Amino acid sequence: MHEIVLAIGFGIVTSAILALGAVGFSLQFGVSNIFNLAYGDIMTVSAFVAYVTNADAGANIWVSMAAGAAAGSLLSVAINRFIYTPFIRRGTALFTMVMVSLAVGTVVENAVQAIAGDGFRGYRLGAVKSINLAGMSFTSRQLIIVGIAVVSMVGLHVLLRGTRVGKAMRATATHPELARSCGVPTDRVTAIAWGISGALCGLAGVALALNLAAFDFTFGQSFLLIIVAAAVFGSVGQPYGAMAGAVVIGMASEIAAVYVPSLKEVVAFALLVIVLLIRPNGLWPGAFVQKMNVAAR
Amino acid sequence: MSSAYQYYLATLLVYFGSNTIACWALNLQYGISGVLNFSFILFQAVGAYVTAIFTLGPSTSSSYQSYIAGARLPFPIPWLLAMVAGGLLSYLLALFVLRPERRDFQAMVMLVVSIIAADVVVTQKGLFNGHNGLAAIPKPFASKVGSELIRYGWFYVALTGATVVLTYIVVHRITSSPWARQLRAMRDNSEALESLGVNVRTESTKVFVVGGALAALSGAVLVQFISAWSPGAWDTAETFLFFVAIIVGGAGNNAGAVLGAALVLGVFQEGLRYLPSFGYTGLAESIQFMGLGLLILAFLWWKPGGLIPERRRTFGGAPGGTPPPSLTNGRTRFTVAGSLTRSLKRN
Repeated sequence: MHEIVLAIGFGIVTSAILALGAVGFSLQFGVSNIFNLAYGDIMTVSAFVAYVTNADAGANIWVSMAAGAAAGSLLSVAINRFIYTPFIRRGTALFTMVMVSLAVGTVVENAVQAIAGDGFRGYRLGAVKSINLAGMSFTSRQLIIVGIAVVSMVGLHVLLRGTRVGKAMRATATHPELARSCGVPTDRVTAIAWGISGALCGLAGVALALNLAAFDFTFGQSFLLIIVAAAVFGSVGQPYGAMAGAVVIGMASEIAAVYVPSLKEVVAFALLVIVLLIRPNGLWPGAFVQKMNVAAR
Repeated sequence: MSSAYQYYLATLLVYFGSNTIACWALNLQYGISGVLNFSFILFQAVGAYVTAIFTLGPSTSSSYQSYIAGARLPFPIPWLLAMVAGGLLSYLLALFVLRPERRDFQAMVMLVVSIIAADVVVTQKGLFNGHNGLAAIPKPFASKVGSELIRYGWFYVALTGATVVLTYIVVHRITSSPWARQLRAMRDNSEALESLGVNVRTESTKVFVVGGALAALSGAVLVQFISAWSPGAWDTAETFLFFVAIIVGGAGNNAGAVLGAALVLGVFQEGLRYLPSFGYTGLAESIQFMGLGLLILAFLWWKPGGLIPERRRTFGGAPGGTPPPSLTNGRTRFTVAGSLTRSLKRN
């Protein structure tokens, strides 16, 4: 019993990091209709930017995390503005865009390796305090990560539901042409959405690196799969679905790790398969999935 | 020619043959049908593993490697079993990976499958000997041809060549069949095809299975030459390489797939071997992969059709007469979907 309570504790932390990543991924897909496979590599870049500011420049880890988020945000906006948008304007089919994003991801990942080199590294951190809560054990940093995730999720909810920008984002996601003809500056709204999701991506990258203690230039790409699983689970393009997917997959994989440690990711994947068998387009297929391959050409 | 170079050449040719088969398989799926098989390398791996376990003989506890269902079967049977396994696995995966309606959505699920499969093979040592993989896989006809390296190498090149020719006959028949016309229509406009009463998921499943079986064959050809197979041989990055080959060569036509296999997998990768080594370990490799990424972006931007673009298929006039003017709409050229409408109307 004690192990399970402990595992729930790990699950909360994993879910929090996963939620940051999956919601950002889902938001990009919702607004631009692109599966951004470079997402994991942008996480890597953020983690390395945070490393440079933290270990090399000596900044506090939370300052570094902000720097990582800013880097993720800038890089995401730039990639969307200078690579994805021109391809889409040219009439590239959406399924070819997957190849485009994969190519971008490969370039980014290997650029990081070429600059930073091989090998694992970790942040320079002070002593850590261990906190016990209802039988679960956390470090103070893990609690801050969970706090950041919760604040980000609530913030995103307020943004999407309570502000004009959020409304414009939802309009752009549902029907870009209609939104444009109603006077929504869709290009700017899309750029803002990519900026926000890039920041979430950066936060997820630094938080993951912090939680793993050591990371190299491939770690973002390998975590991307579980982010995709969470996002697909809750129907990609639906930020709330992604939150639910993150919690379910994060919890399930950590609890499964108690019984079969080697198969914790397989369990996450099995959940995804079951969901796809029952609901082919994920838990909450919204307006986004109806936009089919041809619609946006 | 010195013997070392002869053997090197034979090795290159066997790789080229195996890659050609694999590129045709992926071309059937991605180039012709628009099915983004991001778990492609998994099927090549299955072919290799199945061939290995059915040539190695029963797994004994004293052996340094453990695997399931070992047997020692004569030459063509392991390859055929590999194809069956590839097709069967494709069918099982198609049950859920092809369920989402969007193709990029499907691609994500396949990518997840591919990574997880590698995870399972590494952690479940009883399956295919885990991380170390299988080694000392016997070569076909080794007792008859003799173990002399060069002689056997050229024999295997001939065997590979024969397999490639046989595969080409099958692939060519498929790509020039009416079914391929349906598949191209599915790639270009799946909704239109569906509105004509074709079940897109059934057709995707069929092409997924055929491609999976051929991919397994390419793995079978390769594994009996190199005699070893481990999870390192089928990293997800390899799938990416095959996609680059198809896009550079020209998606949607078999000649393009061969050219892509030769250029990307042969010249580009092999040519880098001759570059002087520089920097720290991994630098050359990362620059190589950056080059591949940029290459794919450049091709998709400037030459989306690849070096040998797919022939524009026009159907000017139905066989045995000019089409009715109401259908031509003043033009004599037809798109694939248009001709499909007509042929369905005729029947």
